[in-house]
Amino acid sequence: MKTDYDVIVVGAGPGGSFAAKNAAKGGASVLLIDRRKELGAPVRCGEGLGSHWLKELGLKLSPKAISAEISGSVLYSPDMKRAVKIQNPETKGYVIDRKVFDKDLAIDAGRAGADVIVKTEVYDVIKKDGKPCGVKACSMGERLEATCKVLIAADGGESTVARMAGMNSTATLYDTDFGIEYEMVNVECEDLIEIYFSRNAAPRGYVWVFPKGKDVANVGVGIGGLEKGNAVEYLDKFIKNNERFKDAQTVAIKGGLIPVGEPLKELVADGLMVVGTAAHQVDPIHGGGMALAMEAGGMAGEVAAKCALEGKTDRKHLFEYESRWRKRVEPKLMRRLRLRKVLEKLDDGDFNAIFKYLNDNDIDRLIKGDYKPVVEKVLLKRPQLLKVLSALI
Amino acid sequence: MWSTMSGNVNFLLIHAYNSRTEGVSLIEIDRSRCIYCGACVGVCPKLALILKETFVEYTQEKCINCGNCAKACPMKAITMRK
Ligand SMILES: Cc1cc2nc3c(=O)[nH]c(=O)nc-3n(C[C@H](O)[C@H](O)[C@H](O)COP(=O)(O)OP(=O)(O)OC[C@H]3O[C@@H](n4cnc5c(N)ncnc54)[C@H](O)[C@@H]3O)c2cc1C
Ligand code: SF4
Ligand code: SF4
Repeated sequence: MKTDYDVIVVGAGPGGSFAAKNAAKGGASVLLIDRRKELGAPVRCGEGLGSHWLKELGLKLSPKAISAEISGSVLYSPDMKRAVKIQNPETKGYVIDRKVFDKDLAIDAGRAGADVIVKTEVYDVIKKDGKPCGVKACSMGERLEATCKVLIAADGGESTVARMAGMNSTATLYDTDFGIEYEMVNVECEDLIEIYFSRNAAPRGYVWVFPKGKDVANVGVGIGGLEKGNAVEYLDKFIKNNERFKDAQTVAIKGGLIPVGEPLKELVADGLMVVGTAAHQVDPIHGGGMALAMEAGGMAGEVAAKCALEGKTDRKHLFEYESRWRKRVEPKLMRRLRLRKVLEKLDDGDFNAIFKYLNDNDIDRLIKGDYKPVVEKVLLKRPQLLKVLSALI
Repeated sequence: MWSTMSGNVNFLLIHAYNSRTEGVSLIEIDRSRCIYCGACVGVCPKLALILKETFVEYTQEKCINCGNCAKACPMKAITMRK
């Protein structure tokens, strides 16, 4: 087996497979490694993907990767008295099947020319003068060492590869949500993503029902890391207290960590790039990260190939990935982080009031980041929120 | 618990004796609850936890007893022993 590559990508999730595909297309020799025997499984995702991303990422979904088509979303107030329905071209999307989707993406990477190995765990990073230059892995009982010019860490929530390479990417409890979800049958649903906000039901997070068919859905809860208890306790309680799930049967359990704070302070170092959940590139409001991982992976793969082929793989040259990402993606995420930090200060009474005063358009505006007119409207009715909400204007 | 026991046996074989903790695991991972999601690994500041395909590997001598993993685990599979 070949053991010397231009680019090694660890993790064949959406971020890693996109990075490997783009690096291979850029002319580099690429090795894509994943621990799993079956890519995508175990699933750690609600599996919701906005359809506008397909165009933006040049992505085609195979029919088997689609579980359900979604026309919009509906948000419920904590007291369930108000439901805001948002249906427009931007809220169209899919609930996909990650087990098919992730494998499809790795297949694309393989077709583009990357070598792919599964059931292979990277347990150490080889360094020369402090610079990562390869990995040590364990593959079906055999030790494997491979060298590279650029190492891309796309290893998801564990983010151990960047840490083994010397970069601190440990997730903090405050800036991370922890989610658990049951895929359930006998849950009636429409083609709408359902979101329930409530500090009681899901402190610092939300409860979601993502339909995977007419009577199948991913029902999940995410909570902030510093909140009391563990996510599964909230999910079990929500399901138990809700008539709608009385005949529901769980056919799968999914879960994981969702970084909802700032992305890593550094996305590159000499010979190293970090991509996707490993780099905390996740939407701070809804916790979606598939598309962001692919977007970042695409950029990283392109730059990695170029730098490796030119033989210039120090931090300065790899930084092109980071500067492109910070310019194009980060400002949007930072705006949403500001909103998250405001929302986490509100209690259920505040939420109920906000839902009461706002019409569907206002909520849509809030989601899109147009805060000022909405905040002004809320403050007229609930001036005591001035201090908290002023952070948004 | 057999799962942590087997970890300890390994540990004892390899590292004989750890004076600080006397070879006792500081956390207990209930393998029957674990769904291999890796959340505990992501918040462990010392890489004392490593995700394998169907379990989490714990290295007691790296553990600083911070409790992050037990807070994080969405399945409530981890408890601190003290
Ligand atoms: C409960 C929950 C619900 C979510 N819901 C949504 C949603 O609805 N929509 C959305 O867009 N996002 C959602 N997300 C976030 C989304 O799942 C992630 O952002 C996305 O998977 C990130 O992709 P990635 O490629 O960065 O990492 P991952 O998809 O996590 O892939 C990482 C890969 O690296 C491999 N790996 C890790 N360590 C090693 C190693 N040492 N050696 C070899 N391989 C290794 C893993 O096996 C894995 O295949 C959710 C997350 C959670 C936890
Ligand atoms: S207690 Fe802290 S150091 Fe020990 S395993 Fe858990 S997270 Fe890691
Ligand atoms: S966080 Fe809990 S469920 Fe997830 S891998 Fe760790 S012990 Fe298992």
